[in-house]
Amino acid sequence: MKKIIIFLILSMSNVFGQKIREKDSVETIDDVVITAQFEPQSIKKSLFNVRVISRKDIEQQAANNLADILNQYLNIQILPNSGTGRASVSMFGLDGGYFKILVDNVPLVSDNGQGNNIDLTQISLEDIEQIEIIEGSMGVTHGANAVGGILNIITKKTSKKDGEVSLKIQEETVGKEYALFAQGRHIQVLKASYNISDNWFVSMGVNRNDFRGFLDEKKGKDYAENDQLRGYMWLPRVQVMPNVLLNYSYKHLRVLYKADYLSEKITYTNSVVSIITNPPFDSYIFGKDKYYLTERLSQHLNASGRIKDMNYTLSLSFQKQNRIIENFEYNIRSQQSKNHWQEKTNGMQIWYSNGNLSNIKLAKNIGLQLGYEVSNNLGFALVDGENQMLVPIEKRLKSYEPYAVSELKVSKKTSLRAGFRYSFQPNFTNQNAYSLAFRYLPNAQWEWRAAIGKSFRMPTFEELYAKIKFSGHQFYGNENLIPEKSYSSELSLKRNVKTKAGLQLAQQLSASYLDIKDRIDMALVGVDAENNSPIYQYINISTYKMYNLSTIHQIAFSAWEAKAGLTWVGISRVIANGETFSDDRFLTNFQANFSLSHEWAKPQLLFSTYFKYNGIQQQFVGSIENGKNIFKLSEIQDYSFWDFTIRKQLLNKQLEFGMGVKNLLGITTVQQGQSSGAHNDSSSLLLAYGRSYFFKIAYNFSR
Amino acid sequence: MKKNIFFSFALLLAIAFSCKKNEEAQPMIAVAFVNQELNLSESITQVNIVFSSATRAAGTLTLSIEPTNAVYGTDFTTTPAISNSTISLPFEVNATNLSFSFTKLLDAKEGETKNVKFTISSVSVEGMEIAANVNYTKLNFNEVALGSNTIVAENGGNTFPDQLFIDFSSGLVSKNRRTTWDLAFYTGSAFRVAINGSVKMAVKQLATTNIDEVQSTDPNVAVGTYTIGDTLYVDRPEGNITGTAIAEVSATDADNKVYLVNLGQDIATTPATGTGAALTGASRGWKKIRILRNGDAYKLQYADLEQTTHQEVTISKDASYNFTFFSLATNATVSVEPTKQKWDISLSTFTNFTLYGTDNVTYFYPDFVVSNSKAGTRAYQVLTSEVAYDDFTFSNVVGANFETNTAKDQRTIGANWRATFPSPAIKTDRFYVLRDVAGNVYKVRFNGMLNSSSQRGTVTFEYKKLN
Repeated sequence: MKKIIIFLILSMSNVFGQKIREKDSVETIDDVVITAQFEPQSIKKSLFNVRVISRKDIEQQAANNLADILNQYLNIQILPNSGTGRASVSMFGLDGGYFKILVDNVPLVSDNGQGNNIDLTQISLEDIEQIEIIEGSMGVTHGANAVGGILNIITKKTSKKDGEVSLKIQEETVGKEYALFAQGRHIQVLKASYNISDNWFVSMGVNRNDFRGFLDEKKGKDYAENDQLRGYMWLPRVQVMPNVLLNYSYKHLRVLYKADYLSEKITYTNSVVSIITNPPFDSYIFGKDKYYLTERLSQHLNASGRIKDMNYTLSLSFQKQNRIIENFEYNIRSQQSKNHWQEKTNGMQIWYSNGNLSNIKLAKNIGLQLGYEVSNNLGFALVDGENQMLVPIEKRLKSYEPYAVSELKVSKKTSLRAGFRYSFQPNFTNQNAYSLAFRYLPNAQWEWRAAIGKSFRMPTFEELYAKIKFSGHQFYGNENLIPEKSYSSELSLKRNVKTKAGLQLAQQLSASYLDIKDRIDMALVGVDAENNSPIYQYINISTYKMYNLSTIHQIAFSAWEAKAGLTWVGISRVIANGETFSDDRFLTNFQANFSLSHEWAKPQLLFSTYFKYNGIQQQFVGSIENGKNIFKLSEIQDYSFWDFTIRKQLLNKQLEFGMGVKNLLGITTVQQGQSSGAHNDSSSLLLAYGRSYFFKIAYNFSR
Repeated sequence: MKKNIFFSFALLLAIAFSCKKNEEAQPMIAVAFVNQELNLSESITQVNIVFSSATRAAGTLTLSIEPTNAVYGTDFTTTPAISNSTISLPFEVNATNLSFSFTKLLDAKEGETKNVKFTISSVSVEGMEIAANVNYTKLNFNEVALGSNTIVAENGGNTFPDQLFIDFSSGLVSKNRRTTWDLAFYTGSAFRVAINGSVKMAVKQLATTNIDEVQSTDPNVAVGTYTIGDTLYVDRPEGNITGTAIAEVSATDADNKVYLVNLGQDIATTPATGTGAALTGASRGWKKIRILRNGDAYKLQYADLEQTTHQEVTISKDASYNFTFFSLATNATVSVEPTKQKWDISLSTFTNFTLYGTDNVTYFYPDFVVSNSKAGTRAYQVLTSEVAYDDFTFSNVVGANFETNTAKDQRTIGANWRATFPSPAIKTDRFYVLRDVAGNVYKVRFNGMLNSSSQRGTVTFEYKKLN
């Protein structure tokens, strides 16, 4: 396989001959950002504090999907689930339901929603330009569930080259495990783009990510003993993501069509070895195994342009995602499978449109943006029902949300922006969001910002419709839940310095506060008199408050670049369950990251290293002591991720070799347990699969 | 250029979608008897023949017959009938087993060896074969001690309606519905009364000695409510007779209090789906009882809670059994356990304790194995990491292990041979050593807890005599 691809590369380079690629434009600290702006503009002019993960960061970390890279980002943690194979994001201790992920400003479809609870491994980084993150409640510009923050993925939409073809092969070990086909992680990427004429541009590509699972102590699928060792610590998965993009530009008008497809197969190997006896014959020994099949189609049509001095952009998108479980029996003796049957567990079909008209001049110094967001989601899920049955629920949720943002340039240095969104929710009570942002640029070096925002989180399918009932216990969803409301505020200070000698220095200090009201939690609401069993239901009962203090320092000089960040987060939450509630004291967590890169010109070698420290995390967890429900303080031990990469460019940067170490410290699990009291219950939390090594070869031809 | 791109794409797509599906090939289907030797306890016995997998076509099996001191028509008959010393048994397509019925007409005389041996001689369908060494069964009229045996114990489905009592030496399995009795009167020297834990019964001692006082129900007197303290309302699960929830019946009548009795729950009417167990049935109601001594017998007084009069019955001890069983529904003693020498383990639902936080609460288990510890059966567990089942011989038996408290606990096998979370599974890393009342030592291994349709309620185990 590898030989064929190397052959392909070589043959193609012969076909094209060699042409010198343009020198990469020098990376600067002045990124251009799009998210929550009236038009693409320099990050300095943004009223919000936008953080950027650049293409360069992605290359330097040899990241293939979003989960690969966000582990290095402050205030974010990746939560892998070994049972379902998904990886979700946690920001400020809030799960993926509070954090919104968009692709080119359109919230991405997920199993059970739009923009939320996205499996990060399902987002390819292969054709993206940069990632923009704004922390805080961004309800005005980004609607529901943008509570803790938003992450907007900006894809590449043009090329300066006439035509471009690139191929990438990346081979990674999974911990110590690697074999050419049976173990490890294998990535193949093929991309091609072509400027058909001055007006038309087309690009297409496919990204295949074949992760063969992580065994660790486990013994794989052909293990027949019933001691919980059958299966994988980390489920094997194969993803194929083809995409196509067509761009038409004429003067100020740009029309863009994009289609992305994902096909994913996760193999679940049951740790339980099922045995059906048929004496005197050998027992039928099998695993009740499953494939989790995900299919996602995302289509996006966008038109943007200019009318007089106003900018407009209009997007229409259709997205759908289905998650299907294919159950089968895997005969461990004969290593063959039978009795396959499929069941759709989640489905989401979204018609979505957003648009805005900006730079409407109300006065010389007042600009207005008018926008809307409309979505029509048909969701399907199997939720837990009575007697351990799964009940299909299909609901259509709609929302119509106009918004307006006005920007007042008080002076050359001072800008003020106020926004309001009203959300018509036919399925719930109507909601609203507001924001107020302030920016002050006293001189060329300093940037002062302040922002407040309000957003809301809609209840999930599970929270609305679940119905679990078994011996002695009843758990119910609640169709009368009201959306959670969040309020955030942020203050930030930035300083940029460029000396004549070429030294670039950027420093940032920010403080923020987030308050979520009407938090939904499962709580005791009554007792079934008939059999004396407790009834639990989701109700709006809990609260959450968070403060965050962070500072980031960046320095670049000649071929060296370094970046360091520190963040303190304090979280207070009252978790209530109807019987008792947790302490509301603030529990603090400290995180730090550091990165360093160097470009060594003569041998064309690029070194980079990324390090992130996650401090001890404390949280209250439910527990039973002396027959009473109580909340106890539980602690997750601190851990660090450290990556190291070297890249070597050849043939005028057409050919690149990369190699490196991910998770140099070899983290797999960390201890999670109760730190005080007579009982020291401790369990381990799976975070990664140990130190792994990768090798990458990329060939890029363009002219 | 374009060709190359197209070719690379095609190649990658081909790799991506070349996921192959392995469907199972069709092997030969073998046919065999489950047991090679059986003692006939009933007058009519269904004799089972099994296929290694479901048949792919209809056909006929032919069995040859070899009687010893037995004559067809005089000592036994079969259905279908024997002709020309053979039986022809038709089977359908998709059959997993078939059976014929054997009727015993005359028992064996004392000391006589009397049996009939059936051997599968042919099968009419292509693609099927007669399994070697297991193609026969011998039906004994006289009881013969079995050296090894496999038992497919049927609890009657995943609602677990039946209680089974199994005797290792004879291989006999006796069965009764678990709702047929309520109280078990101990036949030993102590005056003790046990309740039926297999239907989640619970009892509470009241302050009064007046059985005719009107009482009301108490929702706390129940099993499986996750309430600390509910363990006082049920018998101690270890099986020690001194641990009954009802206090020892005193010779002084004034000391014998009235008990509020929750009769527990009926057998569930709707079976569970998948590999689940359906254990929640309708309430069997409430009673009040008072038990007194009557010489060497018991005097039971009982009534509905609101009644101001009561019924009274005398229940005598029969030392050949562990208990005399009584049904409050039918007002009569009922036969439940075989005589105490004639069973080694019982398989039924069971009220056990489980940890809830730091305290014990009651918890109800299906397919729970209880050993006959009251009569003296002892058992201990061996992990295969110490000795493999196949390698375990009499020399591996540790006599002292039979004398520990664990060995005397009737729950030594209990539910330890299986797991139910995340789904039902046999623990393949362990087996048991059991010594019966007569001193025979067996090794016992549990092989399955699901029937051929993957439903609970069928437990398969094998044992081998070691001495």
